[in-house]
Amino acid sequence: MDLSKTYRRHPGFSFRRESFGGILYHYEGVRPDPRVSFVNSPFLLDLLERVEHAPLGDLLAALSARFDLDEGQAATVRDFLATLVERGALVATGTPEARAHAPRA
Amino acid sequence: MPPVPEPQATAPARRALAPAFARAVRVSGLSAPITVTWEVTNRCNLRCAHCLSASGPEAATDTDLTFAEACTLVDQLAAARVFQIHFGGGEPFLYPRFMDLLRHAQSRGLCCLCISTNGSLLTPERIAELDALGGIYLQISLDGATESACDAVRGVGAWRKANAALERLAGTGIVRTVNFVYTRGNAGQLDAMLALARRHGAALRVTRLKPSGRGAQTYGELRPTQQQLAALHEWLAAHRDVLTGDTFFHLNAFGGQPLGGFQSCGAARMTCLIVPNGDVYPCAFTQSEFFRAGNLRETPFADIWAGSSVFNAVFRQEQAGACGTCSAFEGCGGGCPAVKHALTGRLDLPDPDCVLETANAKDGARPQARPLCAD
Repeated sequence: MDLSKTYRRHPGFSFRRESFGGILYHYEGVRPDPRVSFVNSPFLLDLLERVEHAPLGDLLAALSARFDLDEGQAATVRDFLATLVERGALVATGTPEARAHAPRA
Repeated sequence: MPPVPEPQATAPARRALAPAFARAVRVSGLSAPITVTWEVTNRCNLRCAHCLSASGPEAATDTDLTFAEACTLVDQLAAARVFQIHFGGGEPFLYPRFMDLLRHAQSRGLCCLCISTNGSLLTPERIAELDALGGIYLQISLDGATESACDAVRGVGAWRKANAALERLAGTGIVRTVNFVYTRGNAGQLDAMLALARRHGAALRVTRLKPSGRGAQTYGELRPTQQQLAALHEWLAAHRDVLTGDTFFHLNAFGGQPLGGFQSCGAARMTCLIVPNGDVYPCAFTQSEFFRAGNLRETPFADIWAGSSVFNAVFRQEQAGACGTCSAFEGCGGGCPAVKHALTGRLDLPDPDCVLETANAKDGARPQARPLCAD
């Protein structure tokens, strides 16, 4: 994960809000079962909505301040985001699409 | 801010969900399904003995949603932020302009388009189109590792056509599973089916036979025995990479480590069914008037999902019924409502395939987990 970069969502990755928080859904296109996560973090959902508009580090800083996160909570979110990047759910802008989900020429 | 849960490695087991999430889903459902199953036509070039929707070559198509209606429905599902559509039938590739419908769905941002097919219409050209589309997940139905076992249920030629399709899929980037309905006649072929699937670069997906559609007539003949169900539970526990479509959660009453997946009934909570004429049901196995939630020609999808009385009063309630005192209930959830209703006409009785009920039936006892569960 490079906090200086802007990220976009993989075509197979989406999320939506629910009464308890939200659901993250990621169909990677390389295995049949999607990854489905239930989350209760409004911070994370706000960040995912804005992820394509600013570098990840800037978003983390701005939203950490707005939600008044302590360092432990911010670290949890950073770890979660790093996992999403590692799994290809979030892709650095300008990075070639390597996953099978991407339309082929 | 509440803590952020760890991302799950796969679709989480129910007990892996934080209790607040599990309860919210069980009691009130979600704002929209995660996956919608959509039988686009009942027309099929096969006539399988256990078909859950009684499809076949003679099935009428005059009330099927038109292409324009189907596109409108896709738009409604996308607006509700449904993540995945699972197309089935019938044979979905017999639906006119099916490829155009897939393209429309992809253009609306659906994450995954899953297609259940018998494979017979997967020509090289169509496979190339699907491969180019991306985001496709194919489920090829094959109900036996041997031609005789499979074709006994699916009809002459089915095994050969499905295998040929799997061979044509080699070298493509299309994710695929071999779908295997576990029956009395093919129960001994689990290892061979897994080997067959792997040989074709596919995962194996084993699902439960249910008394729905034509399966209601053949259930008595094809229904696995209790010994076969016990063997299946043991086999699935040892093969965690085999998918089950979350259809075998009733086997968790055997005890031990729960099987993978969500392991509870997702009908009207996480999924629902749309049939060719636009009727909506809780799941693919509840296609009866009792369970009909509405019709999409009359009511938008979001209104049916949120307002259906059968969804809210029957499925989004915690109703343990006769299973409420059983210590296995937490694991099996009382079993499948569709099977209960089809075989008993009631929803408050144990699953007719309850492994404990049958085991205890000899002395007339109600289900008690202790004799069989490894607490």
